[in-house]
Amino acid sequence: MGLPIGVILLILVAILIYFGVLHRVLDRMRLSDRAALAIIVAMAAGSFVDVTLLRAPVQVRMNIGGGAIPIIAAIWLIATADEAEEKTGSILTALVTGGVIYGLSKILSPDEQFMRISPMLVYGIAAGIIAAVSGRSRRAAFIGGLGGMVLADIFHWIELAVTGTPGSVFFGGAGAFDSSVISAILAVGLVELVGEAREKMVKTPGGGRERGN
Amino acid sequence: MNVGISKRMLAWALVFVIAAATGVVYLYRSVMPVASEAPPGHAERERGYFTVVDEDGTVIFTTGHMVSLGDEYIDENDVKYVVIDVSDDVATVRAVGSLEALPPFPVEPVRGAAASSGAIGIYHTHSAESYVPSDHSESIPGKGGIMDVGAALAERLTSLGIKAVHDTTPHDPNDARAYDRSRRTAASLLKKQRPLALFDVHRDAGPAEAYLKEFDGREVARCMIVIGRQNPKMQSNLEFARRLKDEANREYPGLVKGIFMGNADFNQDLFDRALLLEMGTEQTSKEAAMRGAALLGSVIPNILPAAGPGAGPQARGAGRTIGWLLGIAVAGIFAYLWIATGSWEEMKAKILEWFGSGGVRVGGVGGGSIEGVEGGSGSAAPGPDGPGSEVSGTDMSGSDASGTDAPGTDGEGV
Repeated sequence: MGLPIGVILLILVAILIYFGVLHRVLDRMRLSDRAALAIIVAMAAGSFVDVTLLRAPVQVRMNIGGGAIPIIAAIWLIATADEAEEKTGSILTALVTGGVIYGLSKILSPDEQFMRISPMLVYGIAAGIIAAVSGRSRRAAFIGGLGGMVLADIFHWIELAVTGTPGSVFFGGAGAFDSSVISAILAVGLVELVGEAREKMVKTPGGGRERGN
Repeated sequence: MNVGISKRMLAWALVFVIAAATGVVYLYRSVMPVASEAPPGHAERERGYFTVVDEDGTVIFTTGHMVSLGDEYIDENDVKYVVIDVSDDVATVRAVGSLEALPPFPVEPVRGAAASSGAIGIYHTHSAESYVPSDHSESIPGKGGIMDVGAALAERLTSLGIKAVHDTTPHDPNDARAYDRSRRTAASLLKKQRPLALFDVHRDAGPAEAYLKEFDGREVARCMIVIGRQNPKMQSNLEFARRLKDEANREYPGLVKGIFMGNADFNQDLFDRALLLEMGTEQTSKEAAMRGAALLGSVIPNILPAAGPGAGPQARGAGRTIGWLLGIAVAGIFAYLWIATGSWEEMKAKILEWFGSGGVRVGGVGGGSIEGVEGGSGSAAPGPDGPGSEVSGTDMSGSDASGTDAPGTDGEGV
């Protein structure tokens, strides 16, 4: 293959850091260490498997690691939420995030350089803000970040079908490094930071603290 | 809950408000240029392209790419420039010196049958880009003339015995998620084709004269290589770009007119030999761009290593990137620990406890927890070691859909 050792090390370091952060995010979903690790291993392995869902008029594909497994995890997180309010909040967060991301894709410049930060990061930050506003729930942030990107892809699919534009839809096509997964990580990270800072502000002398989920 | 107000709480509130305000302003400045005026350092292109001049007013290059303060350019003679001012559609650069020549290629280059271990991946983020003199439009949704230019590059590589995979997946419309969609195509090429290099082929915008040159009596549209500065693998990619420029210009002087380093990512974080190639502009003929792509294809095998691990040309850049990654990770972990624990003493205690307890888990304050990085599973999505799908030749996954009346594709270069 001819990859230099330095590059192999670079890939390994990036993977370790990335999956370490992802593991931390899944841990905040109150998954056990083993379950979080199982999801990460499944995402990494599933990243190599693509499934074609539709060939025409719009080519629609899904990557198992970047699409199917995170989507299943998000649905599972909704189903196992303790309170009905949290379930509703998570779904609403995903819907609003999906709409916002699709809207941003239309109003932002297609010139990536026009942005001080990558559009991909803006989507995750948007999901985090929406989740923070809607209830400071880490679970809602994860579902909003991931589900929002998936919904934005579905809106794109509808746009292609309605306008007859040649195009393709590839759910989670970049595998574990897909923008939907990155968006979920960013959203949880943002809510986590907001939560930690807020908890610092309301921390009582006795040590009692609020905690989001 | 007893919520007493203390100086510490007020300090935290102040920090939070400042951070939030900074974030809002930062996001506003990132998002709003389209809706309102451009932020400092950016400008709208009145003529559809930027003219980049030095401090004496001499034109250095033109491009349809957005040009921002701090962007860099390396010309064909290895003189490096930095953008110091952007006003309307004119950017001013300052020469900051000449680059040292790269050391000789350290390993046996790939040629002919030796290429069986890897492919060259080619795709098009802006699949509608076209050439007005040949295609009669600057934008043809889903099947732009740029596809023929990518095919010319792939055909020349194939004729030299190099496996070339030309992915013609359309990523229309040309909106802010085009690179997000093409990221999935790029990642798919990386995991299935084990590529030696990955090229996102575009055409630029601007006057044809800036790109045209004669080679062997025929008009050829030259190439500009583009690197994203918001890209952790920038150094590796830049080294690869410089090597490609040097080799191309050794065989065909001036074929690569320069390397532009813009304020973006261009999905180049996925791979250390990922480049964006601008082949001509909408005002050059497609045939001239195809000839340029073919000439470029003829030198690419000279700068790619043959099979077998070793010290490839990107090793130095990779080492620097590893340092940055580790530095950022360590800084991030410390920042998070400090926020989570609230004081240096408590943070030190937690770190000591973490090491003392075998590195699995330390109870965070009030129910949070801090964990070591333990999730590395070794195999990653865009890693190049996926099961190789033996697709060779060209036009791997073209869509047959024909586009009509697609909105939102303005066909602008880049």
